[in-house]
Formats: sequence, structure tokens, C-alpha cells
Amino acid sequence: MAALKVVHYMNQFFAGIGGEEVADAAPGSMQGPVGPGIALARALREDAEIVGTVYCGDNRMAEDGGSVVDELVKLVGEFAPDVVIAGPAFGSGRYGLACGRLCAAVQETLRLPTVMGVHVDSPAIEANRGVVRMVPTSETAVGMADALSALAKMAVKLASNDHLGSAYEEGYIPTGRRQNRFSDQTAAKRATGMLLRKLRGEDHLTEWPLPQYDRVAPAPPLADPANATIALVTEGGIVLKGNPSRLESGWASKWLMYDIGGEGAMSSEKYQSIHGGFDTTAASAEPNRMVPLDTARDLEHEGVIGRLHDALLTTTGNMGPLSSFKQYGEEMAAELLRAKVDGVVLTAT
Amino acid sequence: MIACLHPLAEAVGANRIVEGKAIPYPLGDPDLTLDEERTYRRRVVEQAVQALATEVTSPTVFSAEKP
Repeated sequence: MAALKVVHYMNQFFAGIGGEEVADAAPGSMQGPVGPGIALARALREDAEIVGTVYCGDNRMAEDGGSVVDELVKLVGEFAPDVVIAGPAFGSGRYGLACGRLCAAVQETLRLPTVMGVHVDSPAIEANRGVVRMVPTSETAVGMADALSALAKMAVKLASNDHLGSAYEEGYIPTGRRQNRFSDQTAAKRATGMLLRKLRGEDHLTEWPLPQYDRVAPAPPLADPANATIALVTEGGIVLKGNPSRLESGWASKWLMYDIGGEGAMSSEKYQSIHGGFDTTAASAEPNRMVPLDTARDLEHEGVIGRLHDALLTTTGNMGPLSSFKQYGEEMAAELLRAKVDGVVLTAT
Repeated sequence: MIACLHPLAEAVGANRIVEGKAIPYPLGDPDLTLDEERTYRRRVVEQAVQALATEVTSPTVFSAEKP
């Protein structure tokens, strides 16, 4: 088999153009490997050959509206490679994002496989997950040799169309996509086997990794609730009767905001719950069971809290991807901050 | 956060959690009279306000007395 042809992308620093002072360097290319590319070529052994190096300044790429990446893709195409390797960018934010953009554009335009190396805490991870194949590296260039070896292995595999196993088996960064496969054992047997291996202190790899939730630093306590503005928020599917805004009963595509400024309680004449995750009879018959407006209003009148915020923020919090709900949460939080709300009472079902 | 499934609320990292009554009616109970329900609801909301005014360092469950 003829050696696979590789183009290697690096930033101005690793390509040897210069440091931060030339971070606006224009796209350029050179024949063969350069800098870390020389060690990468060794890691590729006889399987592949680095035919060219393409580079660009990190700032030039970060400020690009599209023409810079187009120019880079053209430079890559001139070498007619089989695969493109970008980085390793390690923990560098701009460089990692530049590698991701270049790889995505090469895949899209030239229909070539790409792989990049990046540290797991880089913003490039979430920007490119599921789009660009990424291998994890150390945070700094101390792990250069390992990173190059992982990139070389993955590039050859991708360019040869070899079967790619799971992220765990192959060592790439999980893509967020599942691969189905058949097992000769039932789930019960596999689970029991896993439990026994765990009890014996042996390796036991879960088939179903739990989602990683954000840890949010707790907000400082309210210094004086009697001077605070408190907002009511719910994911209990509370909507205006008849659901004129058509909030979904699950897999919500949005959140809503209602003016409750002039209201002393949640009236069943006006509100109902359309949540699809439980029997809504009790909440629709008496919506204060979901949004405690009546008692919160009492506390406002008695001066226990300073003021009740005029808007109720509501959505349906069941089913649906975590990423959507994270987005709604961020949007709600931004709205509440804008309205200078000090504290939130959120009812969850 | 007023939640009935408080272990779940802790797992996802809500920092101030007050126990609610039940999933379909976190702040009420159809088996009580409306007045009793309102008294219960008030206790939970007061507990929530108190939670907001309490320093916490990690997910913490505050219990309001159930009816």
C-alpha cells in the first residue's frame, strides 16, 4: 500500500513563524513536515507521509469572518492529502478553536477525514464534539510525544477506513453519539458480571456513563429577605388556560413569562398545568400547589420578603435533552438578573 | 428549589433544596382542606425564603414539616 498523504496544520508558533507578536500571521504553507511535524512524521512511520504543513496566526484565525479558513482549506487541497492532522493545540483556547474550524471546513469542503489534538478542558471540546475527531492531550506541550503518537495512530486509522471502536477502546474524546452493537449476553448477565468484577476489585467499565452535571458555586445568602425581590419560577408546565402559547407537555422547545404583578393568587380560572410527566388534575384544580403565589403574596404584604417579582417564568421540565434545559436555565437566569431579582423560588416536579 | 425528588435535585447540583409534598402538587395536598393546605404551603415558602438567606457550601436539603 502506498503511504497515506498527510497535511499537518499548526499555528504560527509551532510552525516556527514566531510568537505572539505575529499572531496575526496570514495563512501559509510549506513542503513537508516542520517543527513538531518532524516528530509526527516519525510517529506515522512508513504508514503515512507528511506532504505539507499549513499554518496561520491564532489571532488571524480567531478574527476570521470566513475568508481565512477558506484560504487555509485551499492550501490544504493543493497537497491533495488523504487526511489532515491539526495541532496538538494542548490547552490553548485560540489554537484549539482554530484547529476545530480548520478541520470542520476541510471535512465539509474537501470531504477528507481530520483529527486534532486538544486538552479536555479546552473550549474547543464542546465547540467541536461530534463534528471533529479529537484525541486528548496534556494541558501543555510537555505531553507532545504522547499527543503526536495518538494523532498519528488515529489519522492512519481514519484515512484507511479501519473500523473505529468506542471512545474508550480507541482513546478519542467521546463524540456524544452511541454505537449500537450486538452482545451474546443479556443485559442481566452483563450487569451481574460487572458487579462481580467490581466486588473483586477488577476493571468494570460501565455501558452507560452517567451524565456529568455542572457544579455551580452556591450564591451568597440573601442578607435581608425583607429587602429582596423574589421571583417565582417553575418547570411544572403551568400555562394560561387553553395553552395559547402551545408550550409542549414534554421536550419543551421554549420557556414562557407571564405577568402576575396584579394577582394575589394563581387562579384555576386562568391557569392550568399541561405537564406530561404526571397527573395534572391537582395542579390545574389549584395552581397555587405548583406556583405558591397566594402565600408568597402574603409574605410580601407582611414584609417577610421585600417584593415579589412581577413575572412568572415557566416551562415543562420533563424529557428533552439536557442541553436544551441548560439553555433555558441560562436564558431565565439572564432575564432574572436583568430584572434585578435577588432570589428565586423554583418549584420542580 | 422546591423539589420532591430531592436526591435528584442534589445530584444535579441544586444548592438550596426544600422538600415538597409530592410530584403532582409540590406545594399542596388535595387530601387537606384548602385552609390546611395554605398553612402547609406557607411553611414551605417560608422555609424556601429562609434557605435563600442561609449560607451553604454544597447542595443542602432543608425540610419543611409535612402536614
